[in-house]
Amino acid sequence: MVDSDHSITNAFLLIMTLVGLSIILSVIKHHSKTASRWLEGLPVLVLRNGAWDKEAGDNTRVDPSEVVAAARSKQGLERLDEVKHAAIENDGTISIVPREGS
Amino acid sequence: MAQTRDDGLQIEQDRTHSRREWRIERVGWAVMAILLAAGLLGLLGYGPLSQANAGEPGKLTLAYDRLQRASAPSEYHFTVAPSLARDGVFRLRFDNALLDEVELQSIIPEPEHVRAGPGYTEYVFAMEAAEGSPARIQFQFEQATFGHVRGNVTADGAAPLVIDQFILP
Repeated sequence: MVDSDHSITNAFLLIMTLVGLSIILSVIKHHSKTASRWLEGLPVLVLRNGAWDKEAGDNTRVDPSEVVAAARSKQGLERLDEVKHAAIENDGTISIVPREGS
Repeated sequence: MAQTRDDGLQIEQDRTHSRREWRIERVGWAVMAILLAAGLLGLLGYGPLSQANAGEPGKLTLAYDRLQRASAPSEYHFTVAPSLARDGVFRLRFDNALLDEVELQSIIPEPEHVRAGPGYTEYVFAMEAAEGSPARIQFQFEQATFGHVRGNVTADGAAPLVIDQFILP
């Protein structure tokens, strides 16, 4: 990327290019819903109303044991049937919505 | 802002979009697997399918990479029958097309002389005409640019060697 040019000028240009690209992309994402969907992705529900969605689980490579682990660590839940919804968020984390009364 | 669904969850989920993303992801995996296999086989340089040979065994042969990468170390490896030597020297003539975009790193053994001729460069090596095991001459270099490179290497008493290379960027 910088080849044999180790000058401060080149380092400055490189950093500005990367920071500039990041700013441009964030502006595009802010103004275009379509661009945001493709660049950021959308959350995927793997557990809906307590029902496991096999298609979503297989395609996101997430299995129920990972959802139970997230439910335990984030909500202090003991079992999968205490989870109402579980979603894979854009950043890859698993978010948990507990059943009412759990 | 995401719509609130029937189940009370406010989430922007679109299964059609997600399916499209998953399909594209799989195509990306396939492309990566193909590139990796191509790399292992040498189709991106440095592998069994990139190695090429030219010449007549027992006289003058050349081993080189038909697929190579720009700015990567490469070599022309000649095997020379000592009987090809004339007057204590062996002359190897390269078409300039082969050397124009090459950064020569070293030549082993070092030539006695290098001469420029019309369209070619001649390297003259000290070598005694004798029977016996062949001599080795190595040109180590880096290609400075990318694209198709083709040219001949000639030596007195041997058929011309055709070098045909594709240099990847």
